[in-house]
Formats: sequence, C-alpha cells, structure tokens
Amino acid sequence: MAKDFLESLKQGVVLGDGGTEEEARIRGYGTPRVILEFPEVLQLVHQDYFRAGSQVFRALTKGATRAQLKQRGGWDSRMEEVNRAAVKVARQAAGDKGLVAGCVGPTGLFKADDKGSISRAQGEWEEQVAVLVSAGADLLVCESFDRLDEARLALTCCKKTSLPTVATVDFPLGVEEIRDLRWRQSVDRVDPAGIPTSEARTRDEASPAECARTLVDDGADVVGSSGAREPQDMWPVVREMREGVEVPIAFFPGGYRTSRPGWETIREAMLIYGIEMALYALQAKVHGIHCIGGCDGAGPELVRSMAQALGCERVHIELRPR
Amino acid sequence: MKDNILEMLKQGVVLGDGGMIIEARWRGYDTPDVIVEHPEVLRQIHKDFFRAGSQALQALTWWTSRTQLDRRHRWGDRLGEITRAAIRLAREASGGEALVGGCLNQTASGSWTGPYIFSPDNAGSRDRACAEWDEHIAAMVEADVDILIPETFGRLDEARLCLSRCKKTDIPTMVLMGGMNRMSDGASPAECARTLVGEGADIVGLVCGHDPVGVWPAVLEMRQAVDVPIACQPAGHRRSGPNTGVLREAMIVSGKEMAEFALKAKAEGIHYIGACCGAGPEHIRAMAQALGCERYPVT
Repeated sequence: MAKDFLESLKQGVVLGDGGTEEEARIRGYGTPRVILEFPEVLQLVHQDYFRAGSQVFRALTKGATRAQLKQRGGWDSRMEEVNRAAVKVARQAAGDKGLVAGCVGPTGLFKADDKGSISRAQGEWEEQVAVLVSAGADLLVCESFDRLDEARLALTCCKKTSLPTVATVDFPLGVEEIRDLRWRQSVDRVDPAGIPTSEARTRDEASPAECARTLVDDGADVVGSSGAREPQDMWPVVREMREGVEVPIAFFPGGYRTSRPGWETIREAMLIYGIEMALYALQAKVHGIHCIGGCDGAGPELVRSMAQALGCERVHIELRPR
Repeated sequence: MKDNILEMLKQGVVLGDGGMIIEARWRGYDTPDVIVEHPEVLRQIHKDFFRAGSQALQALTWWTSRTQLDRRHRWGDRLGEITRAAIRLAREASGGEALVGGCLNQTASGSWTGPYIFSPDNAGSRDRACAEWDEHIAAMVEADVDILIPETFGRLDEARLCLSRCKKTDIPTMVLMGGMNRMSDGASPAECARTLVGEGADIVGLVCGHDPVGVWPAVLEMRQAVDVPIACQPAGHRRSGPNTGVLREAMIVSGKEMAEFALKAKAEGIHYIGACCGAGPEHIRAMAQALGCERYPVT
C-alpha cells in the first residue's frame, strides 16, 4: 500500500485492524506489560491482523501517557520506552506493507471546568506525541474520547506535528438507549431535509455531525467513531458524520454486541458475526466511508471477514464452517 | 514438574488447556494448516495456555489422521511429519515443563468430525479404523507423548476399539467421550466409564459437547461409577439456547463460570480439569487462579 495514508484514502478503502489490546487480553496478556515483557506475543497479534488484510496498525499506546501508566501499575518512569517499543513492534509486523498509527487516548486528568487539569492533560499528550513521532509513527489516532472538548484538546496536541491525524469520538450507549435500540435496529433516521441523523450524543452533548465539523475545523484529516458501539448502532453515527463533512470518515465498530446489557465483560458478550462485519464494511464502502476497521472484541477472524468482503485479504485462509 | 500424569493425578488436580482449534481459528488460522504453515502461531497458543497455568497441553493432532489430512489437502502421506511437528510445538511451548497429550479422533460415519470409517456392523470398517489409529499412534509414540487421548467419541463401541489400540503401547491413556447424556449406541456415561476402565483406560471423562452447566450430571455419574481419575473438559461456548452451534455466535461462557466449575469439580474429586472449544487462555487463567496454579500472573 502507498506510504501516504491520506492519498490511499482518496483512492479507495483502507482497512485498519481490530482491537489489539483486547485481543492481547483475550490471550492472557495485560497492557502495558505485554509491550515490554512479551513483545513476541504482541507482534503475533499484529501479524495475525496483517495476514488477515489490515493495512493500518494501531500501536498499543492508547493508555500510555505518563499519568495513565502510573495508574496502570507504576510504569510511568518507562513512558518513553513503552511508547517506543509499542510502535516498534507494530512496525515489525507491518513491515513496509502497512502503516503504523500512534494512538492517543484519554489521560484521566481532563476536567472541562478546571484550567489546571486541562493544561496537565495537554502536557501529558504533548510529551507522548513527541515520543510517538520520534519512534516513527506514520499517523496519529485519537481514540476512546467520549467528550468532544477532550478530543479537541488531544487533536490540538497531535496537530502540532506534521503527521496525518484521525480524530474519533465514542458515543457510548446508556441503559435506556440500549433498550430503545433493540427496536430501532439499524434503520437510518432522516431529518426533514433528508439528512440522516442519529440520537447519539457525546457526554458534553455534541451530535456526530457537530463533532465531525468541529474536529475538521480544528485540523483533523480524518474523523469518525471507534469502539463503544456495535456495527448496527455505529452506522447512523458515521452516516451523519459523512453528510456533515468532506474529509474521509473512520468507521471502527466494536466486535462485542454492545446493545446487550452486560457486554462490558470480555469475551462473555454475544459476539458480532463475521458476516455482519463484512456486510457493514461493504455498506460503508458504498457510502464513501473509506477508513474501515474494528475495535475491542474484533479479533483477526472478524477483520479477515471484512478483508474478504472488501477483496483485500492478504494471506488467504479458508474459514470453513464447522 | 514433568512427571507421569497418573502420579500427578494422585497428588491432586491437573489443569489441562482449552480448545486449540477454535483458538487458532479465532486468530485467523485453519487446522491442520496452522501446524505446517504457521508453526510459530501454534506454539504461541500453547504458550499462552501454559503461561496461564496449564499443566498438560493437548497437541493439535485431533485432525491429523491420514484420512482427515487427505480430505483437507491430500496430505495423508505427511501424517508422520505433521503429527510429530504438532507434538514438538506443544513440547517447545512449555520448554518441556508441561505434559503433552496426543489426541485421537473418532472415525464413525455420521459424526460431524469423523472421516466416516467406523461402522458398527461392518467388520472391514473396524479394521480400517484400527489401521487409521495405529498409524497415528505410531507417530505419537515416536514423538514421545506423555498421554494418549482418544476423544470426542459419540459411540462407546468405537471408543472401546480405539482404546484397545492405545493399550498396545505403555503410554497412559485418557478416554474422553463426547459430552452427551447418552451415547448414540445407547450407553450411559456410567456404563462408558465402567466398560472403558474394565478394558484398561487409565483416565475416563467427558469433553466438549456441553457447557460447564450441561456436563455436570453426566460427569458426576462417571465419578460415582469408577475409581480411576475422571477428566472433565466442557466447551467454552454456551450450548443451551438458540444459535449455539455456530462458532463465535454463541453466548460465551465467562471466565468466572469456568473458575466456579473448576472449584466444584475439584471438590467432587474430578481431578483432570480442562476445557474445550471456545475456551481460550483467559478461561484457563481464571481456572488456574481459582485452583491456585496460575503460572505467570498477568495484570
């Protein structure tokens, strides 16, 4: 694939990977420990996605700011090492045939009405992004933000570099919505002007279209949504974003059946069918949503289904029904 | 710790592993292809189970008999090489620390996994099934397995026949019937256990078929019927309810439930505890934590 991420998106669909951190957890390895102590395991996870057909690999750096690492078991003094190693391992799996994304996620510090917390969060991200850039990431991805204001701040830090940046926003479902969505399924709602709308809102009450427009104005090269929703529930969100802006849209639904209560526990939820991921990947392509992948719960098998549908499977393996 | 399985079972519980074929498939690899084409992936799966706490690893030989290999890729002539490779990979994964079992599959006509050889009323088919197993067992003996595991049998008569071939070696043999309340030739779990033990099985038990809830009555019946160690390896997929036959589409059994099952089994004197299809390293880790034999704790 072309080295230029944005150029590839202009030409057609780019297939990302699935939920690498969750996949490592399913195999019995916690993050960030897996990065430093079991790099060969992490490399195999990336490689499994590579063989399935992924073209972009998200390095396992989402929770690797200094503050987050401290919280996750006192790894903060090794912040630089963790980020460098995560990018390196992803690069080893991708070789020169794939792109490596440095991931930036919430720091746990951000409070909208506290200036001190905002500048601390900003400091955390700037420090991490500098390491990701010097480690050789090809692009940056802001992930797992359920607030627009926080996502904007992270994006600002990313845009101080010259790397293309994908800014995604989550729209987690409340219990009421889960109940409601069971009946609505994936039917697109349309407003009087004929534009698809969703009821999704971030925690600071921004709609998907509003998120998309704001993030593009702030300089995001790609906007979209990642995780927190299964394909059918994320579909209206990305459709709304698609209508709202001109830039490429990222569609990274979760591999867990998030419309069922209790899905949060790993591997215990009703999982998404491979065929379902494949159909949504095709549907996204038809609607001009070009950056496609999976998130937590989407293992190599689900990404393979998408790759088979999109015609970009790298090493063909026939998954026979049994 | 590598020791005779029977000695280990006398001392207490032995933790097995989860479902290799499904775990490989989950990661995007097919069986038996993964043995030949991506050995590093297979070794890593074994290693993940070992690190979680497995004390006995089952090599991926369940699908490497001559007929099965031929059906897939006309690889029948490579039976010896592929079977030995599968066993070597399991051995390497633990650095020789865990026991390695070699699995043998049923061959009965009408079973979904079998290569359609064994048919109860056909003497010729019995000979063909024996030839199939003999060749497979010979490769396992050559690779020096610690346990022979004829497994997932749906018929007692076929399991008996396979056991008789395993008993020609001096390797401890663990016969695992498919997790059903009654076999398709009418035998109850207790009857299976008594007959197989009478014919020399060192360990008997149940595998796959049921989830931990469904397997319970049958395994208790076996426990009460005989004095040898009992093995129980339920599926990690929920087997009761709709859509449960299809991979990854079933409600998956939680690690917590697996851990509770492991403790319950231990309390009932069921000493070989493991899991099957749908149970990954995470499940085995949960069981290992409950049983106090987790090997490398991972935060």
